[in-house]
Amino acid sequence: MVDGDATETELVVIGAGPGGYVAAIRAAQRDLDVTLVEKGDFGGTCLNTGCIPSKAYITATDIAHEASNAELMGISANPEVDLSAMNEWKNGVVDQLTGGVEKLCKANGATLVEGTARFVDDHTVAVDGSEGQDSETIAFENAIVATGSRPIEVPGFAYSDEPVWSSTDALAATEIPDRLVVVGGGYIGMELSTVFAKLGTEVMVVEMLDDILPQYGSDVTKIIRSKAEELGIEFNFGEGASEWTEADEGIVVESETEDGETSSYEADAVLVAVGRAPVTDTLDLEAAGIETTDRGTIPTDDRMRTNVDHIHAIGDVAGDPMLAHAASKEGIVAAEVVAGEPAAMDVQAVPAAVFTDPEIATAGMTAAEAEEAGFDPVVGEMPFRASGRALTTGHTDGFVKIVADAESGFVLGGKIVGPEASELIAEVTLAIELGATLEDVASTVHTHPTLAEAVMEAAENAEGQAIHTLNR
Amino acid sequence: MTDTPFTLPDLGESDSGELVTWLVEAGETISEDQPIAEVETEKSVVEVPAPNAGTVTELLVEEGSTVEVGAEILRMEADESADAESADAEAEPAADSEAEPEPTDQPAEEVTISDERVFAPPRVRRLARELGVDIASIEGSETGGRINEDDVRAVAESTDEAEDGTAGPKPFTPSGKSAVSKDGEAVSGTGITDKSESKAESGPKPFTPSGKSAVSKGGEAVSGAGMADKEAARSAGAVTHAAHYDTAVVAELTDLRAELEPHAEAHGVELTLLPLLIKAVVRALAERPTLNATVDEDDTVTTSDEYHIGLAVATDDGLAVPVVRNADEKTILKLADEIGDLLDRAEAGELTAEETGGTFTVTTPGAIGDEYATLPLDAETASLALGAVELRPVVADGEVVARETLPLSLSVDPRAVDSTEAAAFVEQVVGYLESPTRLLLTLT
Ligand SMILES: Cc1cc2nc3c(=O)[nH]c(=O)nc-3n(C[C@H](O)[C@H](O)[C@H](O)COP(=O)(O)OP(=O)(O)OC[C@H]3O[C@@H](n4cnc5c(N)ncnc54)[C@H](O)[C@@H]3O)c2cc1C
Repeated sequence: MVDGDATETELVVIGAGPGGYVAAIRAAQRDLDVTLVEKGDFGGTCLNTGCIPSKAYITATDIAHEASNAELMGISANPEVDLSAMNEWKNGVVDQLTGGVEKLCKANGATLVEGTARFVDDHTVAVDGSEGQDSETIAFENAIVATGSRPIEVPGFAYSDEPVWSSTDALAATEIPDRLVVVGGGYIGMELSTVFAKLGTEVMVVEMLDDILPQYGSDVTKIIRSKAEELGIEFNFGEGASEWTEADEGIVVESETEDGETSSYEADAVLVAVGRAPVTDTLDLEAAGIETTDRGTIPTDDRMRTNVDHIHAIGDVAGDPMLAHAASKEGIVAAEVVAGEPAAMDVQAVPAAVFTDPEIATAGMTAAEAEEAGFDPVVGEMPFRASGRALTTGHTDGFVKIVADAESGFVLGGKIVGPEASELIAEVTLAIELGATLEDVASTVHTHPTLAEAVMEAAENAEGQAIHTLNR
Repeated sequence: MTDTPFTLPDLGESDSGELVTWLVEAGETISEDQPIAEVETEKSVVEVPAPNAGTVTELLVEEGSTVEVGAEILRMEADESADAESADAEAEPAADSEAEPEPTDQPAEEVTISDERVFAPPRVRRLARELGVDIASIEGSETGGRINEDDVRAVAESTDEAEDGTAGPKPFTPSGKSAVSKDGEAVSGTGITDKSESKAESGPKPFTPSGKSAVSKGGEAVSGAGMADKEAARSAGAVTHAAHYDTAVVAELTDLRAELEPHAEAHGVELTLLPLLIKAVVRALAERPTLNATVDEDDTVTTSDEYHIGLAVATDDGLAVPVVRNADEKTILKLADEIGDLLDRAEAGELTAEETGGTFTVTTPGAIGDEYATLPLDAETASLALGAVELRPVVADGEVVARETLPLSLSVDPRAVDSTEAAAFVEQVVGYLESPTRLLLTLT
């Protein structure tokens, strides 16, 4: 299998997702001799079947939905959606991005190798090419494992069956299903439920817990649920999907409560989005002596090192938070550590965004977490219905909440629900990283009229002196 | 191993000087930057640092002789590893030597990242890792305890010094640091050295610069001076530390103190000369802000508009540097009261961290036992050593008479303070000490 001469490299990066390709570029920028191995498409999950295609669909279906719901603004339209054309457009976006990533890697001097890498020992990987080609051996000084994650399967729902969709299948669909059961009310399930609901699909969410997105708190989920219900999404909480069967027309999905009560839902397809599992089975970690957790993730220290010092792990394969920007940051840290720099994963906040309607975004601590950490939290709030800009967009659901320490004024966290929440959280995150105070944020002039003013107003409110809301 | 000559480096202000004292002798092993000789020019005494580590083979000039800049003054054998550089010794006398790298050049020990919330921007957190400082243990100097670069550097330096027992005499860390480590170990802020260190300094020259402070880093520290008119200091191998001295005839001052003493006593305060001296110093500082300042590794000078005067005093446990805060805002009576209290507690080893961290340091009379003493400057740009008031011969009206005089010696970092400024400052302090009633003009 393994041919004679091994290629040598200072750093081998396995997997070219937002973790791996960023690590490879940063390492090349630091003059390391770096080899990037990818078995599939450059850009990984995020660019090919995750963040980018899902956001493309969200934007496109928003346009259709908005256009048909703007009578109040004097616009009447009945847009026709051609899902396969939308799919093509999305593919074009993906191709452009992944092509760009590949070019960037090369232009920075990384050597790209196509194939599946597996460890031979703690200083060697073998790369198996696609069509029974001979494998290539690469001897490395350092390695970064960035093999990402894949969707978890629910027993009884095999992705290989046509009507059972993973998120990847959903994002490749060319026909709009009339009825769709979505198993799982996490962020991927909710984002895709919203996409299909806006395309006119009857969406039924089956969720084991008693709320969607429970980690964000009821002040958030209340708003998301009510908007989703307006869109026609039906929620079935406390139920686990147990099996599916073919029916005369489409399929039937069976579910069961803890007490054994069953329900069945008629649909054309079932989308399973119950979480993602790390990809390590391609790697033969044992050959290098790399340990994993019970969940299968690779544990690391704050320098992203595994138990084997010169082998790092980053991104989804290294565990939570399974987010693209976390993967990229970890990739930068790992590359700089390999280059001998004093880098470490010491960020004060990793923001998270959910692209539902309205969007959710958080960073840092909640008030409860702040209290637990020994702070005396104050919370400032600005509802979007008091924002001029929000009114002009026609989207006034939601709020900006900012958590700070009462004594020092340091910004500790933020929670935003509303239009462009995913963009607005950046300012709060910056404030947290810099150790800025409420006063710093409140004293910064914000463009008018913008949604971002709500962040300033929330900071003012926490100080008891907001202009556009009553300070109670 | 080759025997190479070492020439007198640029003195900053003159082309020649008198070699007053050799601080090393033939056969002695020396380390890089170790002071090897004192050279006196018209108004200052400077210490010449060793170009690199090695062994002195021969002293080429006798004490008391005048030496031109560029003339050979000694021969030495550089350490093996420094051999390569020693060839350039003339051009780059203070070039980095591998024989004894600065501790900061070595990869700092890796610090584990704490889960605790840290209030410091990312670049400061990175600097902490670079210097091997656990940022979670620092109490920042900014509002709310936010940590800045200076805080990190201060803790890094104090830790370096505490760890490095080998490098030359190190009497104490001058204050001027705002950061203290939360757990209180190895902190510049306490101003008190441990016993072993204070013993090391009981030799004849207790206050020679440590060779470790920012100012004494040879060519590296002086290159690229942050302020104008520092050409002299900028040239590689220029002296890195300069002293200016003078003597004040203090008869009027001692009379004044004697006159005020009973009035102070009526307030229950014992009046020494020190509060009066501090008033004079603060007044002079107000007119020359670069002396009430710190300079960092990038040669950036940060002046302070607050006057926190550190008093270097000898205690049984070594040296302590209690600080009189906002000395400019206090009456002489208040200063006297506070100083008495601070010195008592310094003696008892009871200073708290808040009572240290000055902007300028004064070595108190009697703390030294040497008329002209020089403090290590560290981050501060200047410090003043005061000798004891004694009857000494002075020339008055063409006759030699005995007068009460007070010798003073100012050490400055040439990156921040040039010799003209330094001399002017000393002159001003002397002026106030010789006719203290002038202080009334600026009384607030
Ligand atoms: C539908 C969906 C929407 C998402 N939306 C968002 C979002 O909005 N924001 C966000 O932050 N995150 C989002 N994510 C999550 C995001 O995609 C992941 O967190 C991110 O891709 C993780 O990056 P990574 O580099 O760790 O792994 P991946 O992107 O999974 O990349 C791993 C790469 O490694 C390759 N590989 C695996 N094994 C080997 C091997 N042995 N040899 C060679 N190559 C190998 C794989 O082919 C893959 O290309 C979304 C995910 C999904 C599924």
